[in-house]
Amino acid sequence: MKKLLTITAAVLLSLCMPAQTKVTFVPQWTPQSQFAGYYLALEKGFYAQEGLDVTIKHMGANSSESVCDQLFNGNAQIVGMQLLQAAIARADGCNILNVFQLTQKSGLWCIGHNPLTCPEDLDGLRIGRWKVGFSEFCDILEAYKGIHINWIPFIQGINMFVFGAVDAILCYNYSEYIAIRMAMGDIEDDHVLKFSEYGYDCPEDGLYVREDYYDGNRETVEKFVRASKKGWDYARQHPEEAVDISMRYVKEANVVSDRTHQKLMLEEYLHLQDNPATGKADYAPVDRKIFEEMNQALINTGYTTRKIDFDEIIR
Amino acid sequence: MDVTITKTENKTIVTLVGRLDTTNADKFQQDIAPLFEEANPDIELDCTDMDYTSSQGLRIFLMLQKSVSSKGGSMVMSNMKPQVKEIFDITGFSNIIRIL
Amino acid sequence: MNRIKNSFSKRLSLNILLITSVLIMLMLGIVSLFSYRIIENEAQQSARNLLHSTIYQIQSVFTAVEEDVKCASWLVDENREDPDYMYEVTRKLADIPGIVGSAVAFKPYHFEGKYYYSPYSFRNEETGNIEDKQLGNQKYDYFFMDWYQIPFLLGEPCWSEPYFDEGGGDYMMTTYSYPMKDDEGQIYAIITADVSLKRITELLESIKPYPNSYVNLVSRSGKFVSFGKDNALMGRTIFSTAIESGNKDIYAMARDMMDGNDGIVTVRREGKKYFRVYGSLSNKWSMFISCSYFDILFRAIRMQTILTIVGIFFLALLFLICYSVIRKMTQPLTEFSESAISIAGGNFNTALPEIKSEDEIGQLKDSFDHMQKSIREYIHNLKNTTQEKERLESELNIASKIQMAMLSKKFPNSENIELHAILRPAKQVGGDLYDFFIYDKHILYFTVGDVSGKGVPASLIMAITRAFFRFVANMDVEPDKIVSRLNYALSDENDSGMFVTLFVGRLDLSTGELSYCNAGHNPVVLNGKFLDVKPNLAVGLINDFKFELQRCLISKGDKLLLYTDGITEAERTDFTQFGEERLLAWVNSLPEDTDSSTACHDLYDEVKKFTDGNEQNDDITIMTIKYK
Repeated sequence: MKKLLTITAAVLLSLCMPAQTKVTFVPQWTPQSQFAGYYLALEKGFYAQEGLDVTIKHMGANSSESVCDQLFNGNAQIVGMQLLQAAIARADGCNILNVFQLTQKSGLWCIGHNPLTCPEDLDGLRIGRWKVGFSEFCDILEAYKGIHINWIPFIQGINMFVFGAVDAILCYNYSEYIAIRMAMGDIEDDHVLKFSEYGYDCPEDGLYVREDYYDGNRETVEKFVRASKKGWDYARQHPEEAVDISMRYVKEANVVSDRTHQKLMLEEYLHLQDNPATGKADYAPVDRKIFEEMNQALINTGYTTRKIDFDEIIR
Repeated sequence: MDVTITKTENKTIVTLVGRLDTTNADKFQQDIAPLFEEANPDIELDCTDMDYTSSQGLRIFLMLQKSVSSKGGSMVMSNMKPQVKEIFDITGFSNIIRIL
Repeated sequence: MNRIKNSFSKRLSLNILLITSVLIMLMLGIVSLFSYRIIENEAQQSARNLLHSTIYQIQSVFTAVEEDVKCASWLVDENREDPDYMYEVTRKLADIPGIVGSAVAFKPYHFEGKYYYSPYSFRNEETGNIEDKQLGNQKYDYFFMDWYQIPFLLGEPCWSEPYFDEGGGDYMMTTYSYPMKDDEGQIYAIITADVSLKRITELLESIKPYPNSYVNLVSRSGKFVSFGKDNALMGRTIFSTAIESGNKDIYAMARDMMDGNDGIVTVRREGKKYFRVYGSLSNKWSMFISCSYFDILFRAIRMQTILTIVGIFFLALLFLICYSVIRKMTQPLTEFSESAISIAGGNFNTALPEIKSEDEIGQLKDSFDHMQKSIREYIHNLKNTTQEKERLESELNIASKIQMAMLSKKFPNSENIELHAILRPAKQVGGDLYDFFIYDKHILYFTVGDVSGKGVPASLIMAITRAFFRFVANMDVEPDKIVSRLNYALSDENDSGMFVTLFVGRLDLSTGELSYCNAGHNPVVLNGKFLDVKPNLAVGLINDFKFELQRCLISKGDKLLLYTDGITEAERTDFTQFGEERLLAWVNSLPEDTDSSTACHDLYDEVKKFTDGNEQNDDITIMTIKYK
């Protein structure tokens, strides 16, 4: 009898509620407050309100597959990627689309043990960078500034900079820069070189889907983007709560981190979302001019062999 | 009535100031009581500033004189104002008390 | 008694308590101030010593490993062309207590055809045996590992950041990396020794100079080696906690410590004060000891607390003792108070409290006793006096009535004489007198007198005088004889010095012959002028005084006025006397046909008007005679 009632209730409930569309989202790194907006959209029910049943899966730190691969191996319908990598992937034949541009500026900085006044100061220095994913930018930098840098690729993080094994380190202001501050304390302003101030201001994180998925599930993608924006708005208004929820994801994934780190990360990351034109986080789509410049730079450095049409990738 | 008793080598000078009337006669009698005890007193009552005496005052002066006389002394009253002298005259006390 | 809300004993006890408390607090304050200073200095010094001895202990662990690796480096160098020999080296190192694993990682193609070549030996925790393996492969690209890459780039040995071993375990590891250089100075291999931080962590956690103090070791990138309670510090760094604290002092201390300096810093945080001593190890790790002032001063605080509690206890005791002693001592006061109220209520025989002591209270009791007796006596006397006074007053009233009754009121008013007199005593029994009688129908004897003094003695003299006057005059003798006899009678044994001034007249109504004798009395007014009178002397002073008789002849219509000094010496408040001039003026203003009675009363009214309500202090007697 009891069982029958439960079944009846479940059936009635499913009749009343609109069917939930299942979506799996993979952000491009292990859990951290860089993805707080998505966690909040899920936790606060913004996805559910849109009729979406969202699962967030994270990339492993030592995963051999790229985040783009997740779209094609069926692990995810939506992923987080950087515009530069996405453009290269598109040029390489991955039919992916940018459906949402989150950050509006480049958070790519260079931190030195000695003061850095301009990109030319980097000439001849031993500079650490992540082994994977940075070579495009490094080549563009060297090519455009006419300098030669002794790049030291690393896979274990910022320690080599802390130990003084490199002169400088390439980092994201919301990530490695925070880690350095955690290890060494605050860095003087003149030891920080912000590439966005020297003509390189390519926006980074956005959401990407397969073109064929988009064609068939355009409404679902739009719902996901809408709810994600709400999640980020919520994070902006309730940063402490956003950090707390991020920390929960961090702990659940057994990632060793620190609340202070996550808090500072969120602060910096939210700044990157401000539109330089309006000064507000209005989730503006990618600027066509910047896209074309980036496109050209990629061709010039040989990373892409063909010009990617703006409308081909940006929706 | 203020009474000042001053003793010199051979006599006692009593200075009387103010009025001697019914209201303070008893007090006056107390004030001069020591004079009744003197062994061989010659007394001079200085009446320069005495303004009035009632009949009770006269009686006390008389008694003092009797006391002094009985011990072989003498009592004189001096510098009496006219209106006081008149009282002594009317009552005939000028006849029995030495007034200088 | 309920009026006493705050009894004297309680108040005094509280005052003593207050003063004592302040003094004790002052004493405690001074003692604590000095003891705090000493304890603080000692604590900082001992914390410093502890820090340095602990650093020395840990340093010796690291140094031992460094020495072991250095020794092994000889073997590696000697045999750098023999790949298999390297396992000998790693096994030897891994077998050394304190080292759990060791590798000799060669640069790519150091040995021909070998991109990765890194023999590795480690102690199997389960079997205790040393096992070997080759570390490098595509998945474990050791050239990009910190333990290889950092010393390679630095060209010098270094200790890695603490890390969790793949195999797990609650304790972290650190790896000592030693770069091997060939003859050209090029690095061809890195020798490593993995060291468990277990013993060091246990050592750190065991050091507890105070219950709430803690010691921690911080790696070169700020990581905590010991995670504290609930692993709260896992994954955290010294700057992370410093930033989180929002405290500048803590941040500055972290900064200074991470720069490799030694020091001490005092920090206030969340209302708690503590100090940190810090110093660094040769591998650029740092160590600090944090001590809470509460702990450090705990002994002082405990001592102070004990002192305070004991102090409070003794103060309470002091209060109770004071209270009871003072209460006991002042109990008589309360009883006195009760007695006083009882006495005030009229119970003059109320018993006083028993006091045997010979102090102020005893004195008070004597005074109280004396007062009670005095009051008793006084009340007794007062009763008697009052009775006596009442008796006297009633008697005086009677005497006064008798006296007034003695005065003749039947005034002659015949065809040749009209006489009237009034007497207004100043006190109930007066010293004035008047009298008159007609002898043999044509001789008028009259007299007005004034006895010196007042009251009963005066009235007695007055009665005697009047009786004498009547008695002697009735023999039809001249006034001087009357006066002389009266003088003789009164002078006899007159010790009181009382005397009478008297005017005695004898008027032959048929002839108008007036003979009179004045005994020191005020002169008589005849028709508005003073009659010529000799003063003679008041009666009662000198028994053989010779009174002089005077004579004159008066005509029909002549008026005589007799009076006592109550008239002339009637005074206003400013001591102005009515005087003889006013008297004569009044007489002269009197209409010719005024009868004697009217004249008497009119003069009396005139005098009253003059004195303007001032109290009459002498008897007033007026007698008017009109010869017709």
